[in-house]
Amino acid sequence: MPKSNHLSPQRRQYLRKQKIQRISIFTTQIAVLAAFFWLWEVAADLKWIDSFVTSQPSRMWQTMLTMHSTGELYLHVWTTVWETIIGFTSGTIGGLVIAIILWWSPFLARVADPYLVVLNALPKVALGPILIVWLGNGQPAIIVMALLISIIVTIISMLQGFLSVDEDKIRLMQAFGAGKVTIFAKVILPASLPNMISALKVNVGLSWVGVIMGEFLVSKAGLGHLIIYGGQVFHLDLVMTSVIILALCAAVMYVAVAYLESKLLRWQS
Amino acid sequence: MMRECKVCLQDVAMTFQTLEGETEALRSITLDVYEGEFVSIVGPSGCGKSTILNILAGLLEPTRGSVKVQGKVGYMFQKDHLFEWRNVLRNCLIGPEIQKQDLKSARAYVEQLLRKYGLGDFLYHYPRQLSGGMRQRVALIRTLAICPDILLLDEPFSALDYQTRLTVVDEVWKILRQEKMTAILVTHDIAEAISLSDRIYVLSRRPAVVKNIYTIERTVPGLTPLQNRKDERFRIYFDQIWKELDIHAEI
Repeated sequence: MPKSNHLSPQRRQYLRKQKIQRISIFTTQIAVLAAFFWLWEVAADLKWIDSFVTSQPSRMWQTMLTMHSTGELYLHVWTTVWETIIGFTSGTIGGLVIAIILWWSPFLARVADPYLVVLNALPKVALGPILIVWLGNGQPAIIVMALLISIIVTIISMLQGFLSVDEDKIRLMQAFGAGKVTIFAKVILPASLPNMISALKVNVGLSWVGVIMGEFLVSKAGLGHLIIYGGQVFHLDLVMTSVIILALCAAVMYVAVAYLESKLLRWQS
Repeated sequence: MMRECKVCLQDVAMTFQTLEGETEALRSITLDVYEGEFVSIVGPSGCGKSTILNILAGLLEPTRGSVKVQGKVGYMFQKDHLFEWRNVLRNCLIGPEIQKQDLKSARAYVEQLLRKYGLGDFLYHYPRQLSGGMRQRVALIRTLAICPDILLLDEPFSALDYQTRLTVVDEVWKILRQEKMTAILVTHDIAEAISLSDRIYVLSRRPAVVKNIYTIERTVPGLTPLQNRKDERFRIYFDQIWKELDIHAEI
């Protein structure tokens, strides 16, 4: 990086302009969020809206503090986050392994093709009751739900990525005398890395869907449990609070994957 | 003086099978390449030129005929196919890695080649940071890294723009001559073939047979391909091969 005193006036002006733009975008984003919550608060205070059904930021904050003092908050957040992480990793790793097997054996890939298409089209939530009967109404059912929802998409997108690697790159490797394992490790896998990361990003979202759906169906703890419970007893403060915590958790996990992406794909930018 | 025959194809035929039917790509190809020779194969597009190289590289088993290849083969493709996730040095080391050669000495050799051919400052650059000509040079050095005896070139210049192409051809030719390589070039560019080669095989349209073999003689031997283009016999060879290829009949 050249030092700033070597920069031409035009360049300095350009950089300053960019910086100002960056700052103004960020402040506007914060302002929109603040305005939203402020409006919500005031509207509830002035009875424009019925805070019994819409809740109110100050009441949500109160709910959060109570849950914090009883330690309930962490129990629920942890339950849901843990289920999501397990579902996400097992779905991703499982999907990756199956995709590798299908890449390895074109025969199996062709056999599996119609099944994958149907399973992909099937709304996995419909399997919920079956999972409850088979696995009991506890965490295993929830985790398997999260896994099912992400694994099929992973298999399909990974396999597509593997197969879309340039045929000539493989020929090049063969000309060097490389076998299938070497070709996979040195070309297919690194070439599919961008593809894999985008699959991870999709999977994070899907795993949250799976876990929350699972918690709606069966659960004694977790954010999904709080949301469905709060809804049933018309305790909207609890519902809104849980939704906001959920949004924060999902965002943190997404950022983590995005960070991983920037680390792994440094050669791309 | 008898020179060693590095590559010898005897009455080789190749037929491809697909669900739609069978395609006879090569009917009968007989081809000899001697040590240190630069041989080009020209022919109308789709006549199975690349198939010959794939057979020589051992990637395809011919339907008929005998194939003798003396020594290690290096294969260079139309596109450079550099791996975007590896830097220049590690791209060049892919061959030695696969062949489980001693990586330390391979690295020293590759670094020496890269420096010698103007890439010394780019060892740790990634392919996307290089120009088309540089990428092609890296691809050549990657091929040379395994110390091949015979080089197979599958239209390695056709992806480059004309200006770059003329310079890269000269550069590659210099490298090949210095490393004393035996080379087989497949191309549809007659001028390129004449400027580079000692001999030229002209193939017919599919199913391919060898139509004619030209031995290229220079008025002044030892010039670069670009200089060879100014040779008075260049035009004569060009016209002969052009007629032989019968390209206008395709259109």
